[in-house]
Amino acid sequence: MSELSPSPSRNGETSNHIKYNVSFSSTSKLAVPSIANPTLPTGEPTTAINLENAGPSESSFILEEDDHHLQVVSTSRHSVASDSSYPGSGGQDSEYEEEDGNNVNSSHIEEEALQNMLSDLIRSNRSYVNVRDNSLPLRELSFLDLNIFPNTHEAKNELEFYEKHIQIQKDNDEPAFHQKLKHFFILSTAGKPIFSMHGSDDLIMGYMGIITTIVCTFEESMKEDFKSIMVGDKTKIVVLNKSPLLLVAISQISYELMSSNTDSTSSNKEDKESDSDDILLINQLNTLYKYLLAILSKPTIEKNFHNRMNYDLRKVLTPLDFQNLEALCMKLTYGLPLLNQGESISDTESFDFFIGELMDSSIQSVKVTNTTRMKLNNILLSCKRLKLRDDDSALNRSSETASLIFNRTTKEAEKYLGDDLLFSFLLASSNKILNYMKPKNHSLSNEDMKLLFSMISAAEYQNRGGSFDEDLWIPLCLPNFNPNGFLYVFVKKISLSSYLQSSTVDQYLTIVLVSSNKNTFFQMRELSRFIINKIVKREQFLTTLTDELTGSTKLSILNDIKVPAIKHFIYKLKETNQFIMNDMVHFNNDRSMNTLLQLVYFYSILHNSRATRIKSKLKSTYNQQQGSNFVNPINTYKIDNKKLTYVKWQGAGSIVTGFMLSDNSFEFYCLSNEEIDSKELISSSLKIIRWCEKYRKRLFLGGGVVF
Amino acid sequence: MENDIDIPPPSYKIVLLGDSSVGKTCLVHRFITNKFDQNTANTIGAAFITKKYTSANKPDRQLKFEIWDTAGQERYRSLTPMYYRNAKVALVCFDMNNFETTFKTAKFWIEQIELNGATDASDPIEIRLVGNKMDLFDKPQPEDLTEEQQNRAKDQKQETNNTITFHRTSAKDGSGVTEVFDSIIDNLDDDFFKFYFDKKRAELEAGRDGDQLSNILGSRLQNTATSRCC
Repeated sequence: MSELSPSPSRNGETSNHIKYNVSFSSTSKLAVPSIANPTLPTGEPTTAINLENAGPSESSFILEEDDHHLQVVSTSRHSVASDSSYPGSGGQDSEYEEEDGNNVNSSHIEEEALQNMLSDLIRSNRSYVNVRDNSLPLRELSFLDLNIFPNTHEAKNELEFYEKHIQIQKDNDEPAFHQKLKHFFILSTAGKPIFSMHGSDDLIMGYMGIITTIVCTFEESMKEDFKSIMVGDKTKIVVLNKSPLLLVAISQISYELMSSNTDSTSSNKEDKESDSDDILLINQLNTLYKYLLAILSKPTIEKNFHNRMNYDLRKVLTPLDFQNLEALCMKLTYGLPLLNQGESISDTESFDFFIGELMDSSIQSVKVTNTTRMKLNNILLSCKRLKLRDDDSALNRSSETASLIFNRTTKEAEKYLGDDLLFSFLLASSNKILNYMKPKNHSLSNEDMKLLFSMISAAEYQNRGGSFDEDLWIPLCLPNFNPNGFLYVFVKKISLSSYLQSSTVDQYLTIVLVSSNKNTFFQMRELSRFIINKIVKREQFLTTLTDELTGSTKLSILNDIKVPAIKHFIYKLKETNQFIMNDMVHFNNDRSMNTLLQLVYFYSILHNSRATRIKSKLKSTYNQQQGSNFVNPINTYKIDNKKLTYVKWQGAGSIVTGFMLSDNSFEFYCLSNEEIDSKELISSSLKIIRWCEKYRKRLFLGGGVVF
Repeated sequence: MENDIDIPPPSYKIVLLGDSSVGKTCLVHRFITNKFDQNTANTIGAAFITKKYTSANKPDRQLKFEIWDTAGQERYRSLTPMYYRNAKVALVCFDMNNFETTFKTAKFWIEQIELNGATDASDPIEIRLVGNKMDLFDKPQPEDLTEEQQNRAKDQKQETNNTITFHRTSAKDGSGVTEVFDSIIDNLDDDFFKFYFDKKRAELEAGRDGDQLSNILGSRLQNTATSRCC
């Protein structure tokens, strides 16, 4: 077994909290790329070798010859500065200083430059890869081959592994409890258990005591917040202290333990600096915490515990809350839904959620033509202008009877029906936004939206088929908007096809109206009826909308733009933090757990691998080719901040290539499980990226419509 | 003559109250869809469900039920007055197999309705006490509740000013569910329907002359099809 040498910088971490490395070798031999010797001797087990001066190309070879597990065969990066403290250094990306302001404006130059560069990087590795590949029989790739999770109990197939190590299990079986790869606990600071992903109450009680003791000891004796601990090199424990609540995550999953090297512009930048290694797990804990805030609000939690330290928060939680928390745990960790025995994955909501979280709380919108989106926007806007009329007096009996009786004709009586309406959404499926309307001075964060949508899909569950006429009224605290108060959410799901005479598919639309006033249910209901009427009024529009929505749920851009080698991609628009990706079915021709876990792993590695800035290299390539007399400062082709990552997994007869390209405006990730050369990889990627840019208005919602 | 096609049936507000997990949502779903789902999840907030329904016993009587299915969980209690404020009938539910706890909550709701519910003393909310999960009850006798429990249900009846009727239901096997709603319609005064239809007809007449109805309905929902009026 070959392993990377430990990266020295991790031990010497200086941060404002205690980081306790019980013992350390390497976090993940798969994950951490290293500078390695390109003149690698073939045919024998190899350790990564440090190369003093890597030049423009740095590659790592981490191979296990006798092992059929897939390995990261090569990670190629472009960097000119010789940076020997490369892995885990947590420092800035290496880059050239830009010499002058001249930019390249031609996209084919970009393409050529990227192609040359990438093929340069890969060439030496590829021959080696091929030799090895031929000796192995081809068979379908399993997530077990990837060595994502330690398979210490030698599970023979995916299902056995899932049941043993992943599936939620709430019984008293202690050995089974310890075989689980991921644990979440929520407890009170007094040590009372509130939620546990696995295990019975009896089983976890003791551990709750240990956790509280450790946290208290750090707090009292060392005046420090306990944040994380590494047990060996395979297990990490992270604690989030939101007194009176403690949230704990324990993970043994390789892609969760690698240090995150995102260049995200996320809001919690301070956290990132201090806890960059733990940020993934801390974000997960924050998501769980925010669920509790959403249903209870901060003052409720604090008040309950203020009265009694040993208060049992479970008293105010319902079985549905526990189920939602369990679903969150599975989605956050594996992108998997909660499955009953023998059930297979029926939709990709959980995978969408995972990718959204991975992309720093990015959200997905529904692809429709701009015309359709504008029409729907106008409908939403017009419902803000509806006057409250006499016949609505019944709606407002309690508060406004007087004014309606005495001032019917005066201007004061001309109240608007949607006065208390804050945010409105049209959703095409539970997690994809079709339209969004917001007031000028407020907006909802992506985190809040995701919370809102997951509550809606949990509440809608009863009426899945939209089989009867039901309106929901949900009090919800949106913690980023206001952790101290509730908003009231009106939800109405309609079947568009039921309004159409000839319709072959069921297409649903969910209307979500968020009000600031708990007594405005009937006003919101009236608005929803107005919206529905407007949408179904003209059959032509309704037909167009239904067709467009049906087409967009299965995004098959890859077929549309003919890039056969690329099987799956994610394109994220940084400005609005929204992303799109194609249906996962294209990757392996199925939506199985096996495929899903592979994608989760590949994208985690691709996203968390440290990308390298390439702007200067591009520039120099261009200069070599074109000479310096080509100057076009006006038509700026933005090469600022362009970065790429290339990762290749190979073994067991399969090859998977992952590629990431990003700049200031987008991030692009793609996977191919075929033989693909650098030229094709780059040209296919750029084809998709250009396609996404071209159809930007269709693919992305933008900032929403403002009233 | 009361079944004019032009005139929609009168709407009638019903609210379901009661402790968490006594089967309120299941009762409503049994009534609306005639289906039962063992894995029905907790209600979040409340659901407002409408259904036009004709009594099995009096086919000339149709109502549009507007049903508030509320969450039983304690944390939603502060919202509940809004739901029963304008209700005609409150179905206060308890679980016959978990009598002590759920009946105590039922009692709490009956008291709450008496305190806050009546907006108009002449039109009190009609309370129907519904004992659900009859199918699980281990007593084979037709009288399912123990004698003591029955007496307490009766006592509750006498303590209050609102009319209380007692029903036994099973949302799981469907017994007693439609009977609750049939009896709501059947117990209504003839005058209720007469008054409603007279009023609507008068409005319609006036509307034909003065365009008032279209004024009321039409101008806000301009040119919108009213095909899906609910």
